[in-house]
Amino acid sequence: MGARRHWIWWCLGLAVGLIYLFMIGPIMVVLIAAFSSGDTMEFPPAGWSLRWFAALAGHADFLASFRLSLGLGLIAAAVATVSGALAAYGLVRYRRPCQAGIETLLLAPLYVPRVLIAMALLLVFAKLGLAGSLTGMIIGHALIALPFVVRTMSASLAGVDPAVEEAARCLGATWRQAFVLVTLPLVRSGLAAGAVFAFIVSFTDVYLALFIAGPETITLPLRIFTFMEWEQSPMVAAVSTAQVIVILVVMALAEKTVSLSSAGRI
Amino acid sequence: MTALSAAPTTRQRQARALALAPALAITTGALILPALVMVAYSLFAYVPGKITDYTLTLGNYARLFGDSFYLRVLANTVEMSLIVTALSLVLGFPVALFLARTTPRLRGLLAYLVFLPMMVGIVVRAYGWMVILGREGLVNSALLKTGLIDAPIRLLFTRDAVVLGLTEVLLPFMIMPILSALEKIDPHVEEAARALGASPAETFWRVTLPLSLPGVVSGSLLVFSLSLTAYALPALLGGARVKFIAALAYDAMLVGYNWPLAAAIGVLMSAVASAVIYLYLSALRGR
Repeated sequence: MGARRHWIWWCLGLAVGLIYLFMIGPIMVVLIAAFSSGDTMEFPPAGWSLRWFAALAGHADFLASFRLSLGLGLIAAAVATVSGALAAYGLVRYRRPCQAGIETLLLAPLYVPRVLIAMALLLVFAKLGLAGSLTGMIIGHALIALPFVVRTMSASLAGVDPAVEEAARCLGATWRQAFVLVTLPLVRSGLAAGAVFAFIVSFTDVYLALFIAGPETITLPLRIFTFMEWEQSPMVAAVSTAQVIVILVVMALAEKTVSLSSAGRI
Repeated sequence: MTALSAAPTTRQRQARALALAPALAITTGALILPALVMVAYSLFAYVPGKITDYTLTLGNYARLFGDSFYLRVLANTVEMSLIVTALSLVLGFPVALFLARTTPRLRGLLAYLVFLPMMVGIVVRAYGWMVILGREGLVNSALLKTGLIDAPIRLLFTRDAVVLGLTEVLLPFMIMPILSALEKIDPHVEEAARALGASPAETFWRVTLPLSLPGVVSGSLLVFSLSLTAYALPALLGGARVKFIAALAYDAMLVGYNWPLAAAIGVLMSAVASAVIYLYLSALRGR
């Protein structure tokens, strides 16, 4: 392939290269600006240093938000992964007439704009006393992470022959044993991908946090957002870099077991 | 099909209900019910100083449609979203085409690079744009150095900055559906067109492009509805100058505490977005 490409192909390649620069550029710029030695957002930076990472390490608010977002991401991902995996199992294994309706409902959080979800949640949470609470944030993030788990799990469950599970049942395993001991190990890559998506969705969400977070539950993206509105020091670049590193590490770990990019197709 | 799905026993039906229960509880409790509550709120009267007064009224909608301010912001949001959608299509199609035609190895890497920014989140990317477009940013320092300008120009907090940022953030949502559509095209169809004497350009215009249309349609509608309801990015890159409709909802809800009005704006946004999603689904079904 590609031995004798038309010249149009190389023009297309050049254009695509520039478009990639456009897509990746803003992130690269942040990663570079984090190492600035200046006090402003001057770019390219006049000098290099690690002072903004040092400042970050001493910034109690950012550290608290970082820890909160990590914990919240893990809990929300756990809730979404368990309920999403079970739901995908119910959907794929036992087909029923209302199948399409249930599937639409489970994938709906993906298509309903985040702002609307956040507004509606605030109205309800305010009445229930959940506004600003960690519980409220967990519920909200589990909701928006759920479709990612349902989708990746449905895809990998569809690739597992139900006969394998039946064989286990015939050999005397209970429904639960068959699921945990036979099916689950076969779909672990789908499960890992779903859990990673769920974590990242929670870890990077700012919309829900803008509406339903309280003073005690300011997540990292929300902290960066509010900080950015008032101040534009390279500290934001440093904390953003830290966030990107967490995401890249999580994705790299998962990429070993499963191809996220193919699972993440819209 | 199989014994498990062909003849469901009571126990299996129970198992299915049990498996679906937690997820359905989350979606119903945290999405469907709150949505209904929002519709209800939009019909409540607003009494200053009081979060809820349960008198029913259409006053909130009357205010939205009667005040040129709200309609102007909505029109502005729709206009900018159309520009963002068109730009995403112009930039996204070549990328999808390149990905569909290149070697599998390169495709894997490049698809990953499309997907990666999506996972980084919008706050970090908005900050990147601030660094690029700021007073001392990349563009201004380049222009100053080349002598094209004498003093920094304002690039940030403009409509163009918001359009640029939204296009960058939403581009993956355009590329992915088009790529899926292009990958579904049987290579033999294009080969047949070439064998029958069509030039590469003709093959593209009369075979490849029409067949990729479902992807173009779904990508465009996805980008449009996401842009229409954007809040964080326009707020950061547009500042107080460029308001999107979602910003009015945010202000009404968290600054003015006029929840009924905020709910009415929310219902208006969902009406426009649902119309778009309906178009999206019927366009897909039509193929």
